[in-house]
Amino acid sequence: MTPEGWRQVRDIFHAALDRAVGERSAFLEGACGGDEALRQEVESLIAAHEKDGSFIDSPAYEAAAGMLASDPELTVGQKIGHYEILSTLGKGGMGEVYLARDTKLSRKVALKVLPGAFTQDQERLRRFEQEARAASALNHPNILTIFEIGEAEGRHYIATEFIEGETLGQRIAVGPLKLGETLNIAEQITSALSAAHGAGIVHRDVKPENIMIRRDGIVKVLDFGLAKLAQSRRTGPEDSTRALVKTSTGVVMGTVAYMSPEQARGLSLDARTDIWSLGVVIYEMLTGCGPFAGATSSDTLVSILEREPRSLNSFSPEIPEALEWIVIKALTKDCDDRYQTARELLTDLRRLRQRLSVAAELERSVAPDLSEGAAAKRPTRASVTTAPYGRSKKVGWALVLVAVIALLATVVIWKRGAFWFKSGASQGTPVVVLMDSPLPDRVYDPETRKNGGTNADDITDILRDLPVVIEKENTSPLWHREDQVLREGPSLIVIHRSCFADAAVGFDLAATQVADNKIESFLGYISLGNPNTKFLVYTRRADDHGTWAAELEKRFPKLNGRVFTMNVAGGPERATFRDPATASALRQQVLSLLGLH
Amino acid sequence: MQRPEGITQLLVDWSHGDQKALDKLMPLVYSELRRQAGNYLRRERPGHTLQPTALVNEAYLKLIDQKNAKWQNRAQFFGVAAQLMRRILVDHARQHQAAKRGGSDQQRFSITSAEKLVKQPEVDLLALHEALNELKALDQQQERIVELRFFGGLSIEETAEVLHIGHATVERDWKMARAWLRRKLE
Repeated sequence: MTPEGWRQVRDIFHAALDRAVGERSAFLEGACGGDEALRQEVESLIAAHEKDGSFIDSPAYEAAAGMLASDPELTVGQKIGHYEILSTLGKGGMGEVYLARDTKLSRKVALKVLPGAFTQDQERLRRFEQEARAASALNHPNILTIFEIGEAEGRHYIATEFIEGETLGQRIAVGPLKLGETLNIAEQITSALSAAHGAGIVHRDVKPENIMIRRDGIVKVLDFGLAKLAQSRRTGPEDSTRALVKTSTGVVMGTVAYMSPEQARGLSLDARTDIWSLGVVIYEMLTGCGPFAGATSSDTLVSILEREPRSLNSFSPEIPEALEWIVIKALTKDCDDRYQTARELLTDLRRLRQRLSVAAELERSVAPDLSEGAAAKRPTRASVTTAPYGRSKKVGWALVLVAVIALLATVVIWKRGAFWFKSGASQGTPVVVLMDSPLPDRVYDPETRKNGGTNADDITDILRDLPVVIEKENTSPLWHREDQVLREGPSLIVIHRSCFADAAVGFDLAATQVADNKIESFLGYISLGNPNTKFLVYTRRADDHGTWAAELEKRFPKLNGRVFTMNVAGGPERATFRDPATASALRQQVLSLLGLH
Repeated sequence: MQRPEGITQLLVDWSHGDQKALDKLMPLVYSELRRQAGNYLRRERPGHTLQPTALVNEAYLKLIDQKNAKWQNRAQFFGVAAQLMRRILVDHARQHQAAKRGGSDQQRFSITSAEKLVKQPEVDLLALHEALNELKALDQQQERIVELRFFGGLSIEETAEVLHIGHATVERDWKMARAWLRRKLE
């Protein structure tokens, strides 16, 4: 067709459309003047016009959106700088990751290409590069090694070591992780964060997708500093919230679940935000689901800001309370009450794992040596994987443990023997353990000491004629003895409040800093010990009496119904149980708890 | 490194006929359009009517320095974006086809997500592109209108603004071009 012919068709087509459907045929008859080809041309165009629904009625990108979005920016064989693209590894909000070959050094690298939008702002890019360079200088076994931060053909990229393995996200998708595996991975992440924080680098986007597990079990944390690049340029709290809402439908959607409350509120961030996110990750490893999961991003945000997560114990009774306590401390909404450093968290995780390893070793190595009755009394517990320990180390451990246990058993038998001799009690006699406070406010002074009178001594006097075996732990701080105490499977532990709960429920933190770790390990042992052991906690403080116990029970549901409190403020300052009314009340309480009316 | 002003300058240069500017512009606009397309897929549900200019408009807001006096004309950008969109999609379709022939596993571009979303019959972009070239020889204005409406997602009014012609003309030409393309491609 010629342009002239086209114009003719066009004019007749438009004129025909301007007429009512019934009049068109007659109109075309006249307009085409017997030119049958022209008439057919116009008629077929009108028919095409009348058809309903056509690809052309929606913009191209509606159909193309999927194609565009799933389209890798670089193609196989393409070169960017001295890297040759081998395949696509993955895609995230922070750009696409390719497996590439470094043609200079002839090694495989992971090449992350930043999206154009992130590289439009010089200032942001400069800050990112600064931070990525700082991270690359860390040289930590659990931080992904950055080889190069560069730019070629207008694209900014980061070349890093290539990890063969899976992301923690992929691992969690299979199902919750075992306790030992969780602790092992959590420790490695914490160690990486601790090193980064020490160098002044905050990750800001700790989540399972940013954690790789190599085939040999080594964990690598990826993308330090990248989150900052993705952050809104604007810094005011309101702006950040707005930016958050906007991005929640977009590329960083998955990250909302790991946001700390301060992050969700758009406040300024420090290292403690990473501790929160790590808490979420640990929770998810243990349960397979997030602590603040919501149907929508907004639900999740509300949950992060306002709700307490479901207790870990309700997912599996095998999760030790000590770990629950660690996770809760990491997931404390006020960052001032959270773990203050990754180092603190790491110390707690390590201690817990060591203790659990010891307990597992005890169970494995020593159980056959114990009497049947003792073995049967032993509570069942989670099997603990001790991946980092080699076989030979295990044997060494076992030998040491056998020796220690033999010694402890001797001591226990000797002590029990002494009690049996004294009280004539039999094997079935309830054991009551008295624990005094190792803390500054413990009831302990030179005068009473002269009379042999700590609180535990006084209580021993009060309970002397009862059919119970009394164990005093007043000479050593809690943390030296709780393993022995709990192995005894006591029916009742009478304990001073400061030994027990302050730090665990977050008050008087400064005053009880010393006991902090001890309480944590103690709670860890509770889960390993006798599930029927009751606790009678005494306090002189009228103001908080009961409050913290309730709080503690709330946080550690396994303690429900097992913690009893007693206000002993009626007695004299440093000799509480010398007061006859207090003594009588304690005696009644112990009788009632042991069912000895 | 392209700053927003850089992009604006490139657009100005290209609109003045500098083809090198286009080469530099493509990856930047492409990456932005791609990002918007991703957002679009996450946001939209089947049957949901899209704001016609959302995609290019968002790209515009993102890429163009609003304060730059040299590039105040939104319509001008839409015109450029539509043209770029066409190039990008057609290039993409070519690669796709080449990859199919080559049988490379890595290059399998899926448009299944789009197929699920869109009830319209699938577009053969390469055939459309060729048909548009044919149309250009017959009626350049109609070809431009299709480019702006279909690839740029512009409304009748916006198209009229870009081409400096009346609404009625755009409407009539669009009807004709649309009918012609339908007959040719469906």
